[in-house]
Amino acid sequence: MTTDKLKDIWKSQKLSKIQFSETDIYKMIHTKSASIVKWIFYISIIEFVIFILPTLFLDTSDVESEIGIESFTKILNIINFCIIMPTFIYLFYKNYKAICVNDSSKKLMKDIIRTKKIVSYYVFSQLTIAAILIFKIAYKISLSDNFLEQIPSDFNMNLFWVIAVVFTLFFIFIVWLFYRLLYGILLSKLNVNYNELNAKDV
Amino acid sequence: MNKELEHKFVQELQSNQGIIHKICRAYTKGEAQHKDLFQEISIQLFKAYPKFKGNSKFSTWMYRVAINTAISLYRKKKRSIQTSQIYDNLKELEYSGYDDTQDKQVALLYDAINTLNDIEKALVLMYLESKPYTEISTVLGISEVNARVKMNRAKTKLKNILNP
Repeated sequence: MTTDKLKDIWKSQKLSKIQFSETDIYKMIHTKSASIVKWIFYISIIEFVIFILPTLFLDTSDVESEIGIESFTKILNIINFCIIMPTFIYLFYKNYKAICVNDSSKKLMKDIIRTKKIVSYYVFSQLTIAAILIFKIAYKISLSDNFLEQIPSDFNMNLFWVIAVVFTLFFIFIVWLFYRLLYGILLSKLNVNYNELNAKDV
Repeated sequence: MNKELEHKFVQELQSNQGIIHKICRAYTKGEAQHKDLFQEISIQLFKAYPKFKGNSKFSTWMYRVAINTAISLYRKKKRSIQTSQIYDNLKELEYSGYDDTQDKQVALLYDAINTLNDIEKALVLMYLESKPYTEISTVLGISEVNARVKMNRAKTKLKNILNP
């Protein structure tokens, strides 16, 4: 069968039996979109909120002063709330707004992927902060009199640090796994199509 | 969007809906998904309509948004409960969009297109609609040469499916 013949067949097709009236279309356009972009938007908002909420509602000042990291967490919070978070929220909003269905397919896909990446970077910035905090706490504990009195005299401090590193890496790995799964499901089709479109065939 | 503009949009979409139905049929399997994708395309068109400058024909612009929605934005739902409410008044119409007794050759062509990947589908659909390569490359955002190479591959694949 020649491709011209295919065109003839294509042209010969009758109107689809599904035909929508103006009333149907009115109803349709006023329903909520279930697009990938909407999903990314909702998930991102949840991610931003998840990392902000504990800092706003959990008063850990007593524990912090007991361990001796009060001023350290204060500086970390200021950097996080005044620089890191606003930067990511701004970048996310700017990129989200730039997603436009009128653009070419390649640009549209690129913009969606970039917006999702910004949220991933944000999450990893928060994980890095959490990791820094864990190590700071571990360091302070390792120096505290309480700890030194309780451990046996032949206790290997290297083991303590190995446990701290393994615990932190495990924590980051679990979150990374969750993200791979979540975005893997959500964006698998988009990634495949983007790679296909991007593949240089010439 | 003001009521007048909204009404104009709905009228244009209603009279040009045939193009979207073709895309929906190529990208989905079954009636529920077809309607679901049609709804998503309509929403995206409505949202983007204020930015439609009128430099191109409504149908050309609509084609681009519909293809973009199908290959980039649309996620197939497992169940389509939401859409079923809207189409209650269409129940009396017996759906035969996939009835190959009506037009066997067209149905076979759609079956073959359905086996292609999303990008190849977009290329083949635009080829069958006799879109020029300049437009195809603009819609997809790739070079004209690249579009030609990809198109040749997609056409060969399609012919192999139809002539095993």
